[in-house]
Amino acid sequence: MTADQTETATLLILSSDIVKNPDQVQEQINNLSTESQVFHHQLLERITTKTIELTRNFYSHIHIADATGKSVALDDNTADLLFGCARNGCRLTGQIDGSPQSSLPLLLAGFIKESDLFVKPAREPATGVPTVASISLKKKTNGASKSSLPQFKRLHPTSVASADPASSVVKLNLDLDDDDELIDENDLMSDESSLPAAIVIPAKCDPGPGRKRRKACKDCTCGLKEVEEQELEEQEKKLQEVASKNVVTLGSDDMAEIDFTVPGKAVGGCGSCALGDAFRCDGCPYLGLPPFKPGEIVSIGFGRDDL
Amino acid sequence: MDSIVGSVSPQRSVLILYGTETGNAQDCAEILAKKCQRLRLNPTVCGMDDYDVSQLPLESTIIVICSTTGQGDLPRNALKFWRFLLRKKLPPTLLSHIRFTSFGLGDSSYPRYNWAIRKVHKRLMQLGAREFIGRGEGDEMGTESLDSQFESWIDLISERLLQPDMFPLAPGTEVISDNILLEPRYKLSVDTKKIRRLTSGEAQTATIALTRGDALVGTVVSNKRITAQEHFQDVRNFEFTASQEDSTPSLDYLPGDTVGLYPRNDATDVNELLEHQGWSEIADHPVTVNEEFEKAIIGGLVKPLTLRSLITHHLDISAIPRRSFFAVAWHFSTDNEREQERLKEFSTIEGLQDLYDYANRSRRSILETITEFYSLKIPVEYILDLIPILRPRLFSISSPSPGSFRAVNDGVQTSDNEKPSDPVNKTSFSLTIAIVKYKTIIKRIRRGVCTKWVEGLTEGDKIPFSLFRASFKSEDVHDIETPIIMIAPGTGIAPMRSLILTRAAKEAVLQPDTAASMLLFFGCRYKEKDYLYEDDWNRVSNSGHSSLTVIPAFSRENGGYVQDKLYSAKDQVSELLVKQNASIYVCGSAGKMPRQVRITIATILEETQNWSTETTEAYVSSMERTGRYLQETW
Repeated sequence: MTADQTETATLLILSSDIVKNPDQVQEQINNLSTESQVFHHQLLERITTKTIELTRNFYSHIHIADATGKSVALDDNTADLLFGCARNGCRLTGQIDGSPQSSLPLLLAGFIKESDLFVKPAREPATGVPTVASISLKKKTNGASKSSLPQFKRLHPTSVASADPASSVVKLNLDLDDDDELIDENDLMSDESSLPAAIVIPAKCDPGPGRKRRKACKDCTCGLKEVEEQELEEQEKKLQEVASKNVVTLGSDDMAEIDFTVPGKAVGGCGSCALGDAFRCDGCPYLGLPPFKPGEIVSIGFGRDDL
Repeated sequence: MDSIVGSVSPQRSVLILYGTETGNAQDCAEILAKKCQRLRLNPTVCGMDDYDVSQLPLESTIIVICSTTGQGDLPRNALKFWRFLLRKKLPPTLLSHIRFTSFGLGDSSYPRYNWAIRKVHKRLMQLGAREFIGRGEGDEMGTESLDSQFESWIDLISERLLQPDMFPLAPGTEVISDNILLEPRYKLSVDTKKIRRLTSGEAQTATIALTRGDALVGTVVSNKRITAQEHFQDVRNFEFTASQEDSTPSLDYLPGDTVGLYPRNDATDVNELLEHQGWSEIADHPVTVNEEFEKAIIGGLVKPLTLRSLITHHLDISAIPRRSFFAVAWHFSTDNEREQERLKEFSTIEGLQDLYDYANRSRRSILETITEFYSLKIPVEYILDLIPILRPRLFSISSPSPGSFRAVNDGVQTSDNEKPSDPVNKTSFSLTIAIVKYKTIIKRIRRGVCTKWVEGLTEGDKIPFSLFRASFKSEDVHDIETPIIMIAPGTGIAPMRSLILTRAAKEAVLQPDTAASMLLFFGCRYKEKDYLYEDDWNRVSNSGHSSLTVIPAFSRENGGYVQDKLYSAKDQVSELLVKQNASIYVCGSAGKMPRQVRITIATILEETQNWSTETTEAYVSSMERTGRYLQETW
């Protein structure tokens, strides 16, 4: 029996708890029986165990009633059954557990959420497969799939979609759904025109003060890497010269040259040698040494580790 | 020090998902999150595989940041989530309540530029999510640095996020300026009420390491150097076993699977940080961390969790500090204007080159940076915002699949030290590990955190580890009736060894009339110094059962590289591919090698088969799509 689509139909679903209260049941019936031209009521249990079969694409309003203060938790199976008997535009209301573990099955079944109720959206009678420009029949790929799960091994067996009452987070055990059919991810790229263009990122006209040349790519082919390596070598040589003396004791004269606090004394180079690598310029022979204080004995060639 | 205590309405929540291979995308996600905080939003950062999809009904705004890796693929930490999104049964309305955008990190010198983010973006739209602003594509090869491009993109979406239909600011409120310090996103609390000290001794550290909830426990069998002593590189054959009874399901593995080792920091280094920052008094008291941080720890947190055990096992103090480090750290250097300014400069785009010179070229660690800036006094509750998480290091398994021994009576023997797995009790694992040790321009010795720890392990030591499945699934690779061409220079040889020994064991049992060929191209520097596992190849070839041919290339002995040897054998290679439907498996360092190999394969086919470039490209692409051409690079 199919309803004329202009004829409204309401389905009242009663949980096993509410049926213990005939008064509450009657109240629900009274509220809903007159809103549509067709009114049915059913026990949730009979629906989920498939004792009775609901007509497909029939109802324009499905309301789930539970005992006062309680709500019904829906799983994938129930959500699919409800989706099947709902017509396009059907509203799903009532005492539905609003937590993620109930909401996700409804979304997976095809309902969309509109403020605090669920609706079966009106769309073409698609098979539920999203439209892609070219859907090719699944090729025989010898079971090869680049996107299979890397599985984490655990000390304790993972449980299947267990709801830990202590936490509000339920973990879907995705590991066990290995046999779920997947779309071919390469198909997503087969029609480039249906992908919106990337946003244009404005280039900076002025990259900033003192901006130096970019570093060479990891696998440089233009020769920049060689140039950089040569510069590094030259710097190495400078460091070698200083390191050839094991210990450098900074006398007051030396210190005067680099101690910026000595008034009137000419400061060598950038004047920041004492301050540490963060402040030293590229060619500083003290690169690698920690920041130092006047009179301190600075030893080059230290090392916590020995090769 | 000023800090903003925000209580942000849950309506202003934004979910930032990241797919990262090396940590770049994760770092970008953290930078974006901090920006969102300044816009008075409530961001949550989550790795794609760490995200619980049952929360999707609760989301309203999602931003995905994802790198492209390999041959246009999603990174390892996104594969589970991606698999969920690819389910055929998902309705096109699943995400119709969600607004989203994305940013991709890619490199235009590779084909399939930014394919990962494009696929994700497209699929999310197919599932009903609506784009609230165009996606950004960052290019490693762009005229500006990737960081700079990302920064510019953040400016664009910040503007968009504040528009009336998104998250406009309440009248009278403003964006929080960069000069104001925000509350830490990953707040650490130290319980100072309990007087009892929970951690301190070195001996304790080893046992604490084993308390991770999601890790397995292995016992080291041997840790032998397999390169010549005088060779510059120290490569180890690292063997350990794990017991079956403690875990279900079984510890079986296949060639291509990997082991994750959980390194820990040196006690001396940890102490140095604790003392430098004046945290020694509270170092061994219990601490608590928030759920978001806990979820990001692969393998689970150790117990008991104290500042000391947290830093030792979970924080990467030898990582090079990034811009995001300095963006937070400069606030804590109030005693010294010069240092504060310098720290702040390192957090800017303009200061990127300087930061590179200071930190990257010398591989300066966070620990060193902190100790060099004398005025840096970090409040302990900010430590998780500053120091990145210490991640497990992955190694391809080089021992043969245990399953292959269960049916074997006189299977192929492996090395003398390595016993085949006892199928009832213990599973054996071998890894091929190159110890990382080098000197930088500032004459300091750099050692990889993990390999430094591995270097010191000996027989009997207990270690935590995890088992990860290969990112591909292909029966052809193990099928002894399908020929296989393997190309693996250096330590890339690891999964090949597993594969060869597994196949050889199967051949010994099934004794087919003609086993399909196994052709290995191996590259190293010197025959006498680093020709890894030479003895194993000889043993397999001499056993009489199998069909292994090994063609080595010794680069410092005028032998060229693997791709040269590959080309020299072009007729054989071509015959195997085209007539015998052989698979190809490439493993080793990312960069030039895999690309050169692919070009060489294409050239071989063009020349020997007389195909056009287009035909060849179509053939190779189809091999990649159907899992006949596998690649594992790092």
